[in-house]
Amino acid sequence: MGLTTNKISRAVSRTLAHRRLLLSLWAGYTATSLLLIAPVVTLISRNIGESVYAGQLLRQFDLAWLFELYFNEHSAPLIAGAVAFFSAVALGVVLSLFFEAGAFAVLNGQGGLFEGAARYWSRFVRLLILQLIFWIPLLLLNAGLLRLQSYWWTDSMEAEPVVLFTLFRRAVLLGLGGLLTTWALMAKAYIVADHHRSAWRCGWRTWRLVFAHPATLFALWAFLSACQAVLFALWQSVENLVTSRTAFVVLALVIWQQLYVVGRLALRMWNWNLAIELDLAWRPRVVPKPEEDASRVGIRSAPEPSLFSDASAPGADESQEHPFPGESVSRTSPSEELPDSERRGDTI
Amino acid sequence: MITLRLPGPLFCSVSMLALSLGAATSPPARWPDPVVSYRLQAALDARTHTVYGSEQVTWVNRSPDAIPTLQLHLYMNAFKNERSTFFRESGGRLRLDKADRQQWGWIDVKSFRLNDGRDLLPALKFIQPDDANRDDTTVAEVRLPQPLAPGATLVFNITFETKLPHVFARAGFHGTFHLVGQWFPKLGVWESAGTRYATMGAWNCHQYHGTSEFYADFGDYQAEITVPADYVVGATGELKNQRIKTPGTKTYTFEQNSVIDFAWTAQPNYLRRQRTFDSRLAVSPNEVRRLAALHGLPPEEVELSDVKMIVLLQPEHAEQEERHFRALTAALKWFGLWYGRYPYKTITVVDPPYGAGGAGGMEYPTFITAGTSWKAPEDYHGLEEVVVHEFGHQFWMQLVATNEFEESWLDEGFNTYSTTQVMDKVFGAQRIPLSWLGFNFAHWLRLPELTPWGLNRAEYLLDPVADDMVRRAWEYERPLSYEVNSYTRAGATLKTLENLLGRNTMDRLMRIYHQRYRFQHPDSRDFQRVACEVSGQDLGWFFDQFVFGNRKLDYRVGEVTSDPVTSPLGVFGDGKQRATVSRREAEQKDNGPAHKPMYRSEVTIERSGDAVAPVDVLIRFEDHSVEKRHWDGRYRWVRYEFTRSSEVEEVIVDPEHQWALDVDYANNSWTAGEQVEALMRWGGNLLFWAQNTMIWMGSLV
Repeated sequence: MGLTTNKISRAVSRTLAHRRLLLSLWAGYTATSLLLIAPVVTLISRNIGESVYAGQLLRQFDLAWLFELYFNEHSAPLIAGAVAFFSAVALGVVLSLFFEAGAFAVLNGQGGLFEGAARYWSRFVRLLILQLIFWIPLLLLNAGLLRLQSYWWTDSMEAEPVVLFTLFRRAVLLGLGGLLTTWALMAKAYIVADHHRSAWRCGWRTWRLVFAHPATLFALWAFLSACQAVLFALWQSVENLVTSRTAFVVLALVIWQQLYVVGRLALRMWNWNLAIELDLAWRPRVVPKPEEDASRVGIRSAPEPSLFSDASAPGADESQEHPFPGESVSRTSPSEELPDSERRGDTI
Repeated sequence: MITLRLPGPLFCSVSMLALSLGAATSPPARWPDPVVSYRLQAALDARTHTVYGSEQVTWVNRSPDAIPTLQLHLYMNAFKNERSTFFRESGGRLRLDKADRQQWGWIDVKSFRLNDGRDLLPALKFIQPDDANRDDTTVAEVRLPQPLAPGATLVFNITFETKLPHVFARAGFHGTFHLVGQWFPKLGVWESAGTRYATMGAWNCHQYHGTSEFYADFGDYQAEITVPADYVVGATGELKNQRIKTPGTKTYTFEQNSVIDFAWTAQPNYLRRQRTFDSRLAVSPNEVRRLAALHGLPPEEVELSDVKMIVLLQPEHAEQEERHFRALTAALKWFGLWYGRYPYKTITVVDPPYGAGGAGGMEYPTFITAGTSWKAPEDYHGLEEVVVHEFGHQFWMQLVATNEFEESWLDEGFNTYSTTQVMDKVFGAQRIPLSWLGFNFAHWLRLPELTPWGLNRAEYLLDPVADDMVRRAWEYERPLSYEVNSYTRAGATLKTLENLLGRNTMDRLMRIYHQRYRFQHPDSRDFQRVACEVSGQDLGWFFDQFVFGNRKLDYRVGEVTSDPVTSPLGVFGDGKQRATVSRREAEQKDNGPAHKPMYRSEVTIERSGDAVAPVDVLIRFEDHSVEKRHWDGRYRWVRYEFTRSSEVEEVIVDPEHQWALDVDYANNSWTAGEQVEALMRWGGNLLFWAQNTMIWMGSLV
């Protein structure tokens, strides 16, 4: 418990120390999102940009307007729209991984955002493919539970047991899904910490880490999810207080939305930092011998470079595998020995 | 009762007489003479879900024709196999439900004899009046030994076995729940020449379709229903008697005059709740006086009568009892006040259990099925809407017994209009539901509010012009077109008619139409005639385009310009008076202190759709002055020109949104200033949700 609390607070400190990275991520996500929504904004602007109806809709949204849009835009049928939407989501996921790869590199002191993204993005994508494979048994389990539900309650005349079982099924799916995403997070920390070339090997090895500390990881995932829920509730509650729709108020609401996005990204960074901290704690690094090349000493020992710099990156193409606890008794974690100022990423 | 079509002038005078009489004769002092009477006996085998039944049918030939045959509905055969017309049309999926292909349903006629003992069974054959599907056995015909003379009465006896399917579309069983509808051989309607669209006497007896099932003569029903002793039974009509005939079973007797069908339900653990609709408590004297004045009737004609309300609830929905009664009370009150008092003594609402959703949301005479779910949130009005809607069919389908197969809008569409009026008046707007275990997050998340009429228009816009509104129910281009044309487009059309005529005129029109055709079978042209009569207008243009046609209504604001009026250049006058105005002189004049700036504005309104309808146009100028124009919409566009001291600021076509049928409100207006707030808000929202989706998806992988 003490270790976990310690790691949480250290992750918070590391997150707060990377304010520029946070802003860069926000800018990256915002620019990407703007590109993704541009066609829809154009459509809306063309439809109601000069219509009095826009003001009426702002005061009291009318669902019929969406159907009007659909009916009057024969060139954009539903299926094509859905395909475009899911393509945009897929693109968003890929770009999200790109930013995440860069952020992990920066947080590990391995260079700038784009440099790190370029180095680790393809490995993260391979990890994503592995993760999608792991989703298959989860979905099969879900399908099995659904069949069980249908078998047990085919003739049921009461919804209550079915609803409760559905809640149980969703809770199982959510818990296992949470475990899977936490595994992916830890695997990313593993890949970056070791400059590991093989995402698949890292992925499989990370399962050992996950199974060694399932309660801690699950508790942390639940805690972070709760933090996200609280953040959302805070944002929504403030939104609900505002009923006026003047230009100033609308601008304030847009800014408030963006503050929420920044907060959400900060939580995400906290997540990443926590993974890095836990990876350090659970897979102690080799203490470098004095005669070793300084650039190849434990990754946390080098001062972190500028966010967009490509200087002082460690040997990106070389893997530095660190064993699991128990494989070697002679290894200790550099994080236990190095002063904070050298390990924290607050120099960027 | 037979409706006879009369020549124009004669029709007018007779109908005006009926108009005044109709108002004075509501409700009937006695039930109209029945065309057909059924004495039914049914025994439910709850283990095999089979009903063993018999019926004695007394049918009076009230037409001027000698009738050589009988045609009967055997609708349970729609569920016999995948080759029935119903199955072919529905594909085994209907109303969000799916057929259970291991539990089929059918009806077998075991014996068929005239009252004198002559056997008609050998002469019984299946016919397919709607399609060439030889595998469909939902309509049977039998040739009589001799044609039935006008005014003569025929009595015959049938024994039959009805196997219920697993609940899929409307009727069936699920567990111990049984909803027994369309379960006995029922006569079609003999339409003599002049009845509705008939040009010669013939049976109107359609096969069972996925989209329609009701058209029958009014009759008196008496049913003895025997079920296992622990079962609770509800049915059409009044419960007259219950007794134990044989050990372990119980027999219930129900009776009802002047209805078009009979259905019942049985389940052991129903919670049977009963209350009385007390008309004196439910309706205030002021409401009665106001409506009496509107319709020119004495108050006692408008007053309602007390009704026994029975709700058969599922135990897990016990806490929703109040909601059922509240919705039913609202429906009894407003349908009664608007169209005439509900003439029957009971109304039974069935709450189907979980797993039997296909039986929900159905209407039978004095007997309806609703539908709710465990922990349904109170602030979502789905339950209330289905109760009000199904009750509404007592007025539009049962009392005014239109042909659902051929003119479904007269049934579902009228009821959609009336239901929406009640929901709007009593329950108001609601948010898009998002509930979990009884808590509706919609309020906290501030999801958009939906008004009943807004929702109706939204659904209408799903498929507004694919078909004519009046069409046989199975002949629409696609199921969605049937839904839209029968329900929401019809609702929007009647709402538009109300906007054009005014609410009071529309209220009078609906009441007079209802009263005049109570216990009859009117058609769309009958409604048109009443509409013209009550409004005093020729509404042919409206009905031809929007009821019997599928014209698209869309008006839009075209180009709007406002240019400063400048002094003209050139040579003016003749001879000695000739003077030349140069650019410099003109500019000096225009910029002089005495010059008052003027603007020449042009506003173009365009008709984008093919429907021609009169429309109002409102033009607002920067100095807040307003011009109103009324355009007949005949040509494709119209241009208005103004020379005024200020520029045009805003143009709105149909500012009151009279035309609920307009497929695009967004292009109905133009404003000089960009809608910055709205664009900023929605642009911001889109950006926000795109960012969040990316972050959320990123955190999943």
